[in-house]
Amino acid sequence: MEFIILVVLFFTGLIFGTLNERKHYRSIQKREADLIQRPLVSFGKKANPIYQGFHGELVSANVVISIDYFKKFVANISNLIGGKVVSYETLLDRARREAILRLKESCPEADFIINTRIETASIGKSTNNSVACVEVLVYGTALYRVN
Amino acid sequence: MQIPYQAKIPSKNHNVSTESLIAKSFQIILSLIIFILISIVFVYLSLGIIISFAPINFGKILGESFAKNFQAESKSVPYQQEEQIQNIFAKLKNVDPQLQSLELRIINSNDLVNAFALPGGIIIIGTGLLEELKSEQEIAMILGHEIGHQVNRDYLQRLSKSALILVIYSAITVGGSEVPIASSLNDLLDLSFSRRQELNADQFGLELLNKVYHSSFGAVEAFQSILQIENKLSTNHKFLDLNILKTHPDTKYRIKKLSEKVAK
Repeated sequence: MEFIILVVLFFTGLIFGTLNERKHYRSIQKREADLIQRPLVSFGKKANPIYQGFHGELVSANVVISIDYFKKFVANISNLIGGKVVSYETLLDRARREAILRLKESCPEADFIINTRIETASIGKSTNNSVACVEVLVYGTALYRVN
Repeated sequence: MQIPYQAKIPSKNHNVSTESLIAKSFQIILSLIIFILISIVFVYLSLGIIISFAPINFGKILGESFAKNFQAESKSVPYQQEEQIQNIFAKLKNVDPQLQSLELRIINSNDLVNAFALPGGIIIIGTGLLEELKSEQEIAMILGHEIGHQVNRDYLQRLSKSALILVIYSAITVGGSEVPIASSLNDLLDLSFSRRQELNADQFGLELLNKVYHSSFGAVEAFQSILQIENKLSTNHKFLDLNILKTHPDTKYRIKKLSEKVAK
């Protein structure tokens, strides 16, 4: 019985996880193309926007994406012999890009976003059997020109 | 202030590998299976070497429990020539100090036309077989053959290999079913040895016979007696299920091999 449940979870993960991922990537690519001209940079830690004719605001965005059972299975197998854990690569890639897009979308009026930082955390690892999620938090300073 | 800003979407996503997940996991699983199989084969092959270092009376408890099955068939009266047989056995044992812990049990049952080497240095012989053997040397040859099984630890070899298979089986099925375990225990009770083990035991018996009686008389004759029993039994169909037919290799072949060795 347990084996049947595992098989069902495996194929659910394989089918729905793959479909979900493709859909998400299509959405990410379309929005990235739309927002590509919105300036977002990682430098600017020492910049003082007040003297440069700007006023700054903290902006942040986060996203939580869950792994599916299929990805977990493949990762567990990879864990046995070490090496690249390929099945989690797309997960983190999607999460970071989605978070950056959300950051850009959160302040459509901003002229720049400077001093951007990306943080990653995992959620729900505490119980052994559950499938963990990855959280990506992006924050930065949005600059608005003072007229 | 104007910050020059030129953004572009990278043509290729180099954060994500292009490998297929399913192909990769198959590859890993396959290599692990091959690795496990190789290690099992290695353990299986090295068991024989490990077992040969075990003391000769190793596994006495197991042997006792098997011996009980045979002793239950025995008549309550002891066999009348028990003492003579034990004397022959003692003569054989005196050849080598490591044989001293061996033990001979005579089962007084005319239906038991066979002899066995049980784990723990217990040798079982049925009076059905003893009655058919014509001389002391023939009896010594049969006993020597069983002592050969004990010295070569043939029973432990079989037992440990069956146990290994059992462990692997229960690992694969995650201890799921009990029926195969029971049937494997029945396999353990099946007292057959491989053809090679039997021929090695014959060789040992012959050498022992030579050491004790200083002649090879009785070696070939003992198996000729057994051949006669087999012929008698195969014409008399109701005895066909007797153990001796199942547990020993082709007697004619053994006689041929032994005659060659005796001629040397």
